[in-house]
Amino acid sequence: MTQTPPNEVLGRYLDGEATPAERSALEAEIARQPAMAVELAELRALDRSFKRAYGDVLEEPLDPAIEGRIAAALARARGEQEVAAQEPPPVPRYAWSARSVGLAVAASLVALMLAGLVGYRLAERHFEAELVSAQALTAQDRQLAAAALEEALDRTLSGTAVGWHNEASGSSGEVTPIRTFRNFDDRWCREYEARTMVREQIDVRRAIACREDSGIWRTRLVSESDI
Amino acid sequence: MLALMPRIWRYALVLTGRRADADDLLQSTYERALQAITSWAPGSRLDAWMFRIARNHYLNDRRSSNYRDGRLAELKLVQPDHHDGPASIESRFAFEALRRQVGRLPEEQRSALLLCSLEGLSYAEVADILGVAPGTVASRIARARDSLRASLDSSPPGGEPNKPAKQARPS
Repeated sequence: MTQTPPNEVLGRYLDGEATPAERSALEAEIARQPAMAVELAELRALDRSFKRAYGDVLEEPLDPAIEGRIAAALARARGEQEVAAQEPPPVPRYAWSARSVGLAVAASLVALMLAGLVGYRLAERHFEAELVSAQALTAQDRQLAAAALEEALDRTLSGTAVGWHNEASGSSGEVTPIRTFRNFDDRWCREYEARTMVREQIDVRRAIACREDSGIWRTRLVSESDI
Repeated sequence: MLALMPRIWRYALVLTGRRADADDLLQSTYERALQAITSWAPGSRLDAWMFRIARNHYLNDRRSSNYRDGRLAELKLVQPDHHDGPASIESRFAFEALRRQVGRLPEEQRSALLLCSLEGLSYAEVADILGVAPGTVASRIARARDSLRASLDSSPPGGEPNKPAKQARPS
């Protein structure tokens, strides 16, 4: 296990393939290193997206002509030989999708418990969560919010808020860095809280951003809004 | 065996990348399976056995170039329907993007990831289907995940920048 790449170990852990020894070693490491928890949470988020992306595929109706031909061939084969006795009974298609929803729910619950980041829900990275909050914001709001975020992440001590206000739209917000740590690949990461007030509505979310080589802060994990 | 159809079709789609090809592959997989049904060991997993047939068939056909490689999962246009908020539409685009990225992975990585993550087969079972060692499955899956994450990082879907895109600052 010493020379196995960390992602492979995490992957095995995620897939339930890690040995008990690997599991406890990894869990200890996760408890010690927030970066590891982030890494695992990201892998879970990817896995969840993957499952959902292909869950849809199961819902798509098959070509009835093909389905019919296969069923007929199967019936003929059954008539010829009795091999099929052990087969599971045909299951209606929705049963599969219910199963995959169940899997997704279970996976995210487990993720919640294990990631060690209480309150974090795995948003699909650049996907849904950000867009929801971004909807009500004007382009100018977003620009101001982005500038405040950069200011907060780049030049502000943890615990100090950086605010923004757009007089044109009436929206405002603030970004507060919460803590700072080193990532796996030795990047700086910061957990922060972003509040946005749009038309009396306050949206609060927590996120983790890591600084890339280019100097860009990339948000990697976003929690659900809780107000 | 009939109940497996949607799952075999899904695997066929992941392999071929095109719906029409997936239909063909589904059909030939069942034909092949019915011919060879006596070679299925009762008590073993029927789904795993069928996946292997589907894959072998695909690889054979690909060699004789019936399929173009499953490079491009077809881009289906998403019709917004009234139950969906914008977030849901966006996430469907995101899923399409993810499926496209999956389509760009080498076949052995695609297969390993799908069979393990989606179909819930163990590494040992996947290894059996792919004809490799379980350790190889682990590394293929890890590589697949790495590339997917990298590609999603470099091309956030949706087109609108939602990150502060700023250049490095000194100090």
